[in-house]
Amino acid sequence: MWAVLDPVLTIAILTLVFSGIAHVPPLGRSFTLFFATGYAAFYMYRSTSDQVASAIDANRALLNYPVVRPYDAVIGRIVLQVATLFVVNLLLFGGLWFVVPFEQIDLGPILLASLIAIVLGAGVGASNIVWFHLSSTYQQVWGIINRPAFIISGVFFLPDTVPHPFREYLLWNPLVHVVGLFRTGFYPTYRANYVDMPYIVGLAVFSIVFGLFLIWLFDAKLRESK
Amino acid sequence: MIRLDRLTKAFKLKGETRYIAKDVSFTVPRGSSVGLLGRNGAGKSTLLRLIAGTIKPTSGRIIRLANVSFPLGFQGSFNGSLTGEQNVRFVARIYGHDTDELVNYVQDFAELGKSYYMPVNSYSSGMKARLAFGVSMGIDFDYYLVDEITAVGDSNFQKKCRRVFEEKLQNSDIIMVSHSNAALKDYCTTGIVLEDGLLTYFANIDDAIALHDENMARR
Repeated sequence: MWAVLDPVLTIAILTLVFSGIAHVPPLGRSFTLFFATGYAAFYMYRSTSDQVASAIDANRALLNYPVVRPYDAVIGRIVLQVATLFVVNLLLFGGLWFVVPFEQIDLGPILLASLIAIVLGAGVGASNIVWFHLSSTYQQVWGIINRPAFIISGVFFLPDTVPHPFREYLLWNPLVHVVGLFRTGFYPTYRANYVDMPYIVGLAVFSIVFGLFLIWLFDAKLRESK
Repeated sequence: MIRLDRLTKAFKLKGETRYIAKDVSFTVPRGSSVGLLGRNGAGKSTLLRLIAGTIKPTSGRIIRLANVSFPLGFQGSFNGSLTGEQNVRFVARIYGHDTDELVNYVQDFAELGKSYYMPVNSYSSGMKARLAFGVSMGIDFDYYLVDEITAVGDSNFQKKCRRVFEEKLQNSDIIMVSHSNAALKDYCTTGIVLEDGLLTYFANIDDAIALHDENMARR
């Protein structure tokens, strides 16, 4: 239930606050749609990385069966997360359609951006299982460093409006690209020229391969509690 | 048959290495049930988990020429948000057992009533132990690994456990951790005493109990 309520409430709060500050959203006419498209993409990454990172601790009891490996818990969590996000997005944008009917959507970039967000999240989450297991200091530090990720991922502004040189710094963040790509599916006139496909696809593939490799490598260590 | 081949298991704690087993080799033949004895923290449960394969040795290996169960203990091996029945289904599937048959067997055996269809999170430790015991008895293993779980539930349930266990012992063996000498004598024929990383194997459980009592008196 919280999987649906989290994005809905966040989008509602963003809409309320920002429609008070500004009069027109950076793109289109609806604040709700602008924040929904931004947060949905961000949320897919963030929730997947959080859920996958806790996959093994949540299923620790099941590791008592010798045939169940840490790897299985991770794969299971990823599958569950994909199914959950599918339902969440269906409900979110289905509901949104009644509030602000969007004219036309292009499923191609939307699905591609979703896939990249989930794969990247799963990869980061999988690596973090191992790093969190080895160091609880790192776990704290990760939490602190990632708190502002929401702000610098282009959920409530467009990177096009950010001045040089900060724009270049910002574009190191793969989530900015993912959010941009996701939005092109909802805003037919939006170009998002800054989206660097080889960069984000490469990073997503690298992160998932590296993450699953770490899980496989640290199999024995992960079976023992911290 | 279960063979420990130069098995070493060590834990590093604050720079100090503690050995559960240090370069231990021996064979547990089929047809004998083993009792594991040792003081608290000697590593009995760890040894059981090593034999089950849920944790890996530091070095050496364990060869299992038998179908070995998962370790049955108080800590439970259930997903708390699933119901008891769903957990049983999960176990049936991972062990390739007929799902409905096992679900029905455990329903009869564990006598959990309506709780069987409630999340395991809502169970008492006794109820979890009943479920765990039921599941493992429903699957045919050559070796049952039992961690201090025989004294579960009320006296009626204990009687039932004993009856089923004795039936199982016709074809299966158990490896059991217990602090109860009576339980060890009842179920086990041979014994292993763990003390300071040394494993001593006795072909007769009474000798193992005698050494363990001696260890306890000494320190």
